[in-house]
Amino acid sequence: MIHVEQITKSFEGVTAVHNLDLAVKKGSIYGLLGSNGAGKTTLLKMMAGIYRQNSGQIHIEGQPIYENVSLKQKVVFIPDSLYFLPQATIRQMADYYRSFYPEWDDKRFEALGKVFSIDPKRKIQRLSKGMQRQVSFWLAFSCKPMVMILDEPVDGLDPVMRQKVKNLLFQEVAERELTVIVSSHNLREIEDICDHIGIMHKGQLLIEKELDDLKTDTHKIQVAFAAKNDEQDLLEQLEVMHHEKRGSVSLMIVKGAKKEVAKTITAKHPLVFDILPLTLEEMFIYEMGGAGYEIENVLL
Amino acid sequence: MKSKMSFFNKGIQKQNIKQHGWISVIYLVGLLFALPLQMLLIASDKQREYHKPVENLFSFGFPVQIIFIVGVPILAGIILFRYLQMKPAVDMIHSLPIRRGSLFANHMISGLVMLLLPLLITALTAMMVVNSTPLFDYLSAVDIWSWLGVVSVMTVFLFSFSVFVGMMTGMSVAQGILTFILLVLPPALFFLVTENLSMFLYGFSQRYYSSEMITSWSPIMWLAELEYKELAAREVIIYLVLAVLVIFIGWALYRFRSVETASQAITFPALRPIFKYGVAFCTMLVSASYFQIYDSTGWLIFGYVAGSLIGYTVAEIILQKTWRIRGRAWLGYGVFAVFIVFIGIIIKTDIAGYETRVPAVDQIEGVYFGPDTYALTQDSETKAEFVNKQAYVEKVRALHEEIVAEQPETIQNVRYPYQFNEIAIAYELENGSRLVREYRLPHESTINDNKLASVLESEPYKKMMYELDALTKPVDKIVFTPHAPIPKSLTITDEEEIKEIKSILQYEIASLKMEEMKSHRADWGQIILETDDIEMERKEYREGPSIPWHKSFQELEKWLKDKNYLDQARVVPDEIAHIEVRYVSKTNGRVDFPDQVFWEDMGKSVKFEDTKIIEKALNHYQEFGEGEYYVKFVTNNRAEFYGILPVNNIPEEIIDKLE
Repeated sequence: MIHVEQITKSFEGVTAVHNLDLAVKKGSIYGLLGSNGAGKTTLLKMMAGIYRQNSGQIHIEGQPIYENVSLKQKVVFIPDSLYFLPQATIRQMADYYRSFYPEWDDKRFEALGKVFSIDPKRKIQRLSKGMQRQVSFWLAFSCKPMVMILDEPVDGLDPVMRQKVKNLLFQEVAERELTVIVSSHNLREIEDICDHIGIMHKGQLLIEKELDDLKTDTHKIQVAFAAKNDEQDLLEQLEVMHHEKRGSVSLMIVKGAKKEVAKTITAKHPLVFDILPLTLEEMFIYEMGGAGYEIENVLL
Repeated sequence: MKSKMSFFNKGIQKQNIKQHGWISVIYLVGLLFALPLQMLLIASDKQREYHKPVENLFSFGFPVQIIFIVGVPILAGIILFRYLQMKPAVDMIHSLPIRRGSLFANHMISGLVMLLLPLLITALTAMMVVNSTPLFDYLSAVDIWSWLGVVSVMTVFLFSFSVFVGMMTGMSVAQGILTFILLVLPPALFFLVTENLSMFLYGFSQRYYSSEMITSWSPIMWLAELEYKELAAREVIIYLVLAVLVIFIGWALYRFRSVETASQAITFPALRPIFKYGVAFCTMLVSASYFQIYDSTGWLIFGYVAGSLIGYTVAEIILQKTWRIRGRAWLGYGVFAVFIVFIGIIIKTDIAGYETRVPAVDQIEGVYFGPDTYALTQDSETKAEFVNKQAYVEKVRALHEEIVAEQPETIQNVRYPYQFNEIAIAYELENGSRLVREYRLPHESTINDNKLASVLESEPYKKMMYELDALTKPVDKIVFTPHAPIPKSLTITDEEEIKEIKSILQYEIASLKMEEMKSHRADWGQIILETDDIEMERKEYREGPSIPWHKSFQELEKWLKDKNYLDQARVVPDEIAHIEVRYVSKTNGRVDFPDQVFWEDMGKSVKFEDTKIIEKALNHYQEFGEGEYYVKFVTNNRAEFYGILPVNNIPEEIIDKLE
């Protein structure tokens, strides 16, 4: 669906995105993580056809996005700092968008009005920041896009509205195979909606993972053995990414199918054995710790 | 099935009208007030005695018209493309599925409609006003349509130009300022460059190159002159072509503009050095022109350094958006300085031989020698005439060679015009080109007086300066008008007498010596040669060709005395009640004007009523010049005129009394 190849963008000699490759499958929700200044916004704006890359290619459905009207009609971008036409009401803004997006759906606009329950006659600039963000989703969903590019979208939304927006996104993905790219500097904010995660740092993509794989493949294990040899054997038998000892108890992060891992361990008759849930954050930390990155600095 | 998006985007148009429609309203109201309402006011003015037919519609409420015609289109260019200069707006607009070309076209279209509609309404209203009152019968529909045509073209041009500049900058304020600067830059820069060249190139005539014509290079200056100028179709067409060109370039720039450069001073990196060095160059020239008036090489160099440094710094501050300029940025100034010094050396050492070039005799088609270059820049009947008489050409060449060889120091201080001789020399060369030089020679210079005299006393020069042609043609009347404030004149109509005066004048002029031509001794008056059928145009400005009546015209004086005409022709001592003489010592070095000396009660004053003294003062006073004895003549009618008594011709009685 979306293919980013060897993309580079620099501003005034400062490189924001450097030789980056990225691919997003149709109907998936891709989370782009990274600290401030990692280049997320720049990448998203290039994907939305706002910035032109210095080199490399961005294709959506096999076509370049920049200055491509028929393609951009299927793509909606919600920036982190929202902009609405001066003095415009929600309905006027809807009229404006209707003149650009041929797939604009008035029925959908009316229907969504019930979800957001803001009077469409109100002037947008007088609304609170959170309500403005709701309006931006309202308008974006009404355009019936195939791709939504969201830059720090959940900022300013209260938990209830955040859930509503997430549900709408899930619904669109399920019903119309909407593709979503969403950026955040906070993993916890988006871990429950994304099926793919990419981490950006200093203009490059450090890691790209499918969350289901991660969740089923990585396990946090606490074990204690009577004999020292048993532990040593285990370390050799399993794919251990991280190992530390707390007294007699060993903590291990292990890769592999859960059943297989459990079988291997129970065969050694451990004194203590627990498989603990692993947060996404921990997974990334262990996943990348091996690559030598100070991941805590990247994820916040 | 929804229709495909067309080039014309309804959403943008609607939004532009809603958001920026006020531009159109302001333009309309301003123009209605300036033009049709002004016409109505004139027509309904009961106190109006006479309404002089105007040249064109610009003559009504012109200052207001110009403010709106220049201001609103430029403002419209800023406002309509404001979204490009605001970061959140530019991202939002460019995320929409629309090509930059269509964005540009849609904003241009709504801008043009919003600007041109008020013009049309104003023209139609003016038409109704014209038709409603007989006062404006002399105005035809053509006048109104040509006003509409000129203003439309200029509106389109100024709007497009403002948009074009907006593409190169990322700040609305900078867009406004740069637009104005660029609109006056061509003549201003040309003026500054020639002004600076004239400081370094001996004989370079700034006035010749920066004549009035260069103002039409600036649309604003050109517009400001429309009130009294005839509307020239040629210039309007040029501006129309330029408008189309500027729209095209603006569109091309938009395609390559990076949206992220919003809020940058200059959006295209390639233009930044041009901006930086351009600003430094211009401020350098302005500053040098300012310090040049103090006539000191030290201050002049200071002017160059300070001006360029200030300009460079300001440009860097604008580009870097910080006043703390880093060390590396000064490297650019170093390069600039070296380059300027290099250019300066090339000009000063005159590698091209500009200062010493005097064309060879066989290359010269004709020569012009006169007091200034004014006639050389005219193309009407006052146009300079080039003389190709071999003897005259050689005399002028010889003088020119002498000036070029000696290069007497140019007087930079032009406040006291009688302190130097202004000379313009121009050659028309065989290859069709012109060589023009201008010199301000001090009176006391190493130039051989004989060489100057041989030119000034030659027939072609006198012919140009003294209307010799008119003396060989039939004349119906000769009028003598005195310079003094005495209400009288002498008119000769007798054919025989006219013939005699003409031949006397021819003799007097032929025998004029340089000393008298150069002297500041006041003339007795003007001798005007009138024909009954002089062309209308000439009649409007003056009666006919006139010849200054120098006091050295002895034969003429004698003839008038013999005929008993003298008392009527000029002021005579009997008409002066008394004179008042003031002595102001020149030790302080300042030069005073005669009337000023009397107004300010300077120095010691003595009155004289003796006719002999009055006669001597009358015969020798100068209107201006250097001297220490100032004289006020008071006529029997209590009218006054002033002068200076030259050092070598002061009646002894005066000196005695004032000492």
